[in-house]
Amino acid sequence: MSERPELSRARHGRVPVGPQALARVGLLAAVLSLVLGWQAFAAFTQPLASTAPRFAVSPPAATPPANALVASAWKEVGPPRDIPMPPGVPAAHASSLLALPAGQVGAASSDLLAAWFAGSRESGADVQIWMARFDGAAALGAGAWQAPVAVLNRHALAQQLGFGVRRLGNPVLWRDADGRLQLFVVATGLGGWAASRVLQVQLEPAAAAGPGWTVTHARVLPLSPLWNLSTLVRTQAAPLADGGAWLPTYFELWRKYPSALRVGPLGEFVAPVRLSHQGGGLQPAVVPLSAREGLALMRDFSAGAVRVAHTGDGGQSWEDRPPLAVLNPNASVAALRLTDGSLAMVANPQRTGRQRLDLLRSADGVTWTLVATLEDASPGAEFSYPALALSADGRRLHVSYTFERKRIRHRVFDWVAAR
Amino acid sequence: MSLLYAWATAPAWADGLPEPAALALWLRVGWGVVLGALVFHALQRLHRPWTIGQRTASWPALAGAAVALNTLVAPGAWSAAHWLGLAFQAPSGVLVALCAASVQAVWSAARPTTLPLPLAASLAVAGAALYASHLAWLPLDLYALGFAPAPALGLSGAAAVLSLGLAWRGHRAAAWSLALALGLHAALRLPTGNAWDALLDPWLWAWAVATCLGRAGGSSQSAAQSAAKRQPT
Repeated sequence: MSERPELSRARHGRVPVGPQALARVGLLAAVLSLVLGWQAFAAFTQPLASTAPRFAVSPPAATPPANALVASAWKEVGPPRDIPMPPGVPAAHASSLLALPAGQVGAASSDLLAAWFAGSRESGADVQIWMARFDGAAALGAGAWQAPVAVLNRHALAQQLGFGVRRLGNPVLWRDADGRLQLFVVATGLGGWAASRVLQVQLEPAAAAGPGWTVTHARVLPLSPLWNLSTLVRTQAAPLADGGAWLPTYFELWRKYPSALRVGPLGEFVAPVRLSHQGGGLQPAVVPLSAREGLALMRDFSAGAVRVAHTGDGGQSWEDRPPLAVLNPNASVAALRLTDGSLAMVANPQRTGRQRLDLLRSADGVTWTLVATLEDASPGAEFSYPALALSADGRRLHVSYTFERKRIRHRVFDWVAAR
Repeated sequence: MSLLYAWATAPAWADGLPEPAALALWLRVGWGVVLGALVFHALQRLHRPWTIGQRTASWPALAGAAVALNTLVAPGAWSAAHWLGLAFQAPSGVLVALCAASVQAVWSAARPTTLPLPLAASLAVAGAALYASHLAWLPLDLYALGFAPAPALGLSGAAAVLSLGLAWRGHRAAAWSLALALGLHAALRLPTGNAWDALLDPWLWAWAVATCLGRAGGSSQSAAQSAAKRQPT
């Protein structure tokens, strides 16, 4: 069969000049015009991308009185307790906490949700995401946590997504502006954590008064052009004034770096932003200083000190700052803004090992003072991956962390009036 | 959000990402076409067509169609889309369209120029910049621009200009591949809602780079042969 004339001309680089060729190019031009017009209409009718983000801070930031920055301002309530583990599950890690306002999914004003991953081992095929509710009105004893329920497993997610999920990890709880519970979770492809993706899952209570949760929607978030690999979540979302949030993420392949994804009030995907152009900062904890200013406190992959980035425009752009004087042994930190404008952080404050875990507080995000040593054991012990949540009234601080990779420990601190 | 689905479904998230159901379908259709084309091309180099009565069938076409059909309709983990989506997520619209065009070109016994050099070079350069940026070798985030309305429209516009240029030079398959990818992105936000992913994926980039290197190697060889012929004996 002889070659078509236009192909022959193409091979020899000649320009087609016949009316048929012109008509075909004209048709293509018309189609492309329609396509671009449609894209422009769809894109520019999305208002979220064009609105400048502002952190949700309440009340407005104010310098706390100097005598508030003392260890006695926060007192631990009750003994440390472990969140109940599923029976027969030996390994647990990476908890996330979410304080619930009154009336939220049947909760009282002091209730709390916790999510974590558990299974035979980290990266095990049987790892699921578990959740449990803390009944804040109950006596602060062992019975305050309800029994855990399994929320996500990789098989059910694969069915919903239409593609395989190899492993699950690092859940992050968030409540949208309508009060719906959303969960961001790491799901791996082929390979280890470096082959991770971030999934967004919407949950509803399985029954009005029951403990279970049903997945109503699930999707993968596009955060990398390299087969959407190697982006993870770990730390809690920083709320925005419009009801949305900055969800901290990080890229773990090659030259690791921290980033964040802006989500809208109902969890809409808005825009990603890179938090640092220096390699090696991971698992950023984003905390607001004011409506426009914020800090990202980061794990240092090179095991030096807690890294810092700063924003002055609500998170749209970030610049690197000098690291804190708080050491960091390549371990995750948690941080949040307290209602008096000061910041709380939980970190492993040594150069190597995760055997010590401290709760720290700062007025400016630069100078940190010790509130309480949560754990201090011999080298080889591990207390890591902390999470923080503040009750709705701002007077109770919840701390959770992985205890020896076997369970999740929970501590409660109440604010007491400074003398 | 994708306008075609706005009236039919109540989405959980009304934003610029594709509907999860549309993405799940694209995974099957896209990988079905790509895998089917790969199988077809691999086998048609090895097998000759055989005749049944008055009709001519070909093993490569049947095998490619079977693989494509499996990817499209097999349930869950029985479908290749389950595993390819696990490993590589969704293919770009350009890759899928070029794979379909490559099969059509061979089937119609035309000399295939599925990935012409102008397109290959453009994809190779764009991909190198995109991946270097994402690996933090460049001090800017090109991938994030694929979500921003104005830059994404600019990228699509550049692809449209390239498409017209390819059509003007007679590369119809490549030109319409770009147009199809842009159309899928505009209408359904496939495959990811990012303009980059509509036009490029790592496998397509590898194909483009290999094409450029192959053409460069071929040009060098031709130049060397021409120079050898001109040498006085």
